[in-house]
Amino acid sequence: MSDETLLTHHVLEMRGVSKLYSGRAVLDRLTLCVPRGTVVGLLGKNGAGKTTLLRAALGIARIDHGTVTILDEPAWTLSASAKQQIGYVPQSPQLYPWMRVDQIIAYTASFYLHWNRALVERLVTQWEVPLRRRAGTLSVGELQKLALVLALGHEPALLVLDEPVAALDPSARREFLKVVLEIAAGGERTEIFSTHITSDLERVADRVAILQRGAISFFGELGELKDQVKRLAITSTNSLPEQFSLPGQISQRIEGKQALVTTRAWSPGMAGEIESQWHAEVEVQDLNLEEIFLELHDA
Amino acid sequence: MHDYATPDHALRENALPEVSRPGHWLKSCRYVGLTYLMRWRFWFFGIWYLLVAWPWREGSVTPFVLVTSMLGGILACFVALHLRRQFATPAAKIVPGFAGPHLAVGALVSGAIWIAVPGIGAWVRALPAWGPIGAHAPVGLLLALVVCWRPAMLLLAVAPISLLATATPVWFDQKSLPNQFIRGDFPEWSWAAIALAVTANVLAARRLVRLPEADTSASDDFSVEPAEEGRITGRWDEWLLRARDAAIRRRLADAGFGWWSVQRWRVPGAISWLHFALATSGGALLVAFVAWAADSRQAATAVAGLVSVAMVFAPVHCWHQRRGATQLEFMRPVTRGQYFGQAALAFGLDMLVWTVLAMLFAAASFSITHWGPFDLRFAVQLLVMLLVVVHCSLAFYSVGLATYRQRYWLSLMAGLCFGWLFAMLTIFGVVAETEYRGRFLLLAVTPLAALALTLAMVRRWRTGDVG
Repeated sequence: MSDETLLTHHVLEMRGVSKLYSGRAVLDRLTLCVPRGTVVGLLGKNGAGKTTLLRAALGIARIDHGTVTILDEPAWTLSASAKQQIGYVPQSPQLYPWMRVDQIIAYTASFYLHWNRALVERLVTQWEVPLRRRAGTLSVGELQKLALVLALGHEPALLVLDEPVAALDPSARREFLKVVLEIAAGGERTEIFSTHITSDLERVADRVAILQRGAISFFGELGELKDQVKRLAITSTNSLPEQFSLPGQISQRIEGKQALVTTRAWSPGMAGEIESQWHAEVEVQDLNLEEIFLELHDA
Repeated sequence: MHDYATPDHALRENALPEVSRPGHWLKSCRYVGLTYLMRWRFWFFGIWYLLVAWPWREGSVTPFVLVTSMLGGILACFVALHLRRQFATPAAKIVPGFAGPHLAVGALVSGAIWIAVPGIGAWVRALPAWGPIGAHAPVGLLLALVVCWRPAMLLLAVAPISLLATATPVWFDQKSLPNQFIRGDFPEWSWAAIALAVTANVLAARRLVRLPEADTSASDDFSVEPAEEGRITGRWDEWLLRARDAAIRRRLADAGFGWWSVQRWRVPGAISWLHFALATSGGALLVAFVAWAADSRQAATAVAGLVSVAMVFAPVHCWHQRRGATQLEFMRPVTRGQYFGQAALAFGLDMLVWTVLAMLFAAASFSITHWGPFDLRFAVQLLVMLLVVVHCSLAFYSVGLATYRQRYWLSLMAGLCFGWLFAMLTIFGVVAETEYRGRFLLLAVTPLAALALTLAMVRRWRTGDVG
């Protein structure tokens, strides 16, 4: 891969980023490099720093250490042309309560050189966003949909969404995910979204970033994560000792001759090694993303 | 000797709910009291209230009672909002014994504001207590009103205008009716006012325990912005909003022309000629009413001056309503410097428009109320009035920028302190034709201070987090 390709390979680069609020490090020497054309799902507990990470990535929040580069520009001094390529939906979008929806859309469109009116009209119809109502009369879910429409209207190269479907009903969520997949198709656009709904992430994201204690504990393909994290049900002929542990162990429960162990360093040869060392039978269980997330955070 | 083996006795022993025990009740009151003590706004305005209430001077007490009742009114609004927040939660409906301590402490705080402080002042000055307390009864009434209906806070704006409606000579005349009332010369009226306020507070307490959760907003600041979802339908000012729709449409039609890079930030705050017409005609009606009711040109001039100052605050209110959208606005395709610079300029343009309108209104009102020869004295007084409007404009602009990221009430209070109070004193000076030359110095210093504060704020915005 040439140097030039390496330079532009990542749409977002965060290196050694720290952000403190009242002396507490919300982001702690965090490193995250998002390749172009990927859909990245950001997972983390409440208060883990997902919103702060996204705000720092966009230059909305000032970082205390490290560097953030987005679309090959420093995030803090993003140019107008770079922002033409970014769409952002905050966690609780606030607009102008006294303005009508159609006015807000027209106002937002006036800022962009490129605005896909047909796409906006389709989304508005599909999601039943009431054009003639004032923003102050919209429910939380309707406001979220409007904010998404505003973020998608200029067909940005990078879409950053902070809990975009938190307030959507299942039908609207499904529609939104379809749109996300459509936008991501072709690999020309990059999407980063934070969510608690792991099933949605599994459906659309091809990479997962797990934020834990202010840093990224895992970033990679979803399949890779699922290949690494497994739960092993071990049944031995003898009682297992309390010190029983496996490489990369996250959690364990031992009851006599049986043990239930979750490891994040699973390899195909591990089962054979356990069987021969402990005279045990090993059943390998696949975990879905929610179970992996719970295991990682409860550890 | 109790027989604890008897199930009935054991039940009786434990039948007394814990919340009914006196020790627990007092403990609950203490914790409720802490919810007031932990909020600095109560300390800030409470201390200010006491400081203003304390230096009772000889002579007319009325001007001081005016100021204390206004400050008491602000405190009363805070207490009312605080109570609303406490009662509009599921805990208020579910937790046993919730209402008692909260109402008791609320009553104590309320009583301290409009009964205890004026009562102590009366005792210090050897006045009958019912006089000053009766004069502060409107404060208690305001508290009760705000508990029941939050927009009643707007009455705070009515107070200074209605008080000035009886003109400065009246307030300084020891034999005037307001002075006599405050001194307790009309006990029946004083007690009637006190009884009315007490009754209103009792009714407000009943309202509180029935306050539905949907009736309050998550914010308890002074903003009268629309409440949460569903409660904005059928707004009484929908016809005004339609006028704004037309103004927004006109502004959007100018997209790309002229100074669009700055004008586009004014689109959400676009106001139609109807709003200007309403502001000026409403102000004119008020001035005319005061001139007729008080039979005093001086009172009308004072009110005209205050209406002009209120007009200049209008853009601060409009821009504060949209600060929640700052993050989204910042992510529009503009650089950081462009966003803050253009937004500050757009805000400045809005201020300029309203300042010009306010100056025209002040000049017209002053000319009408002081119909006579256009001599040097008239010209100087007119100039002072116009400079006061400009002073307030600069003060509100810089205060609006400085407090843009804070709660709305901070902007309101800061504007009150730095702009409105000075304006009131100067207008008093013009109306009473007292010595006011010293204020010219402040009027000259204000633009420099405003410019320095503005530049500091823009610089702070450019280096800090957005939203």
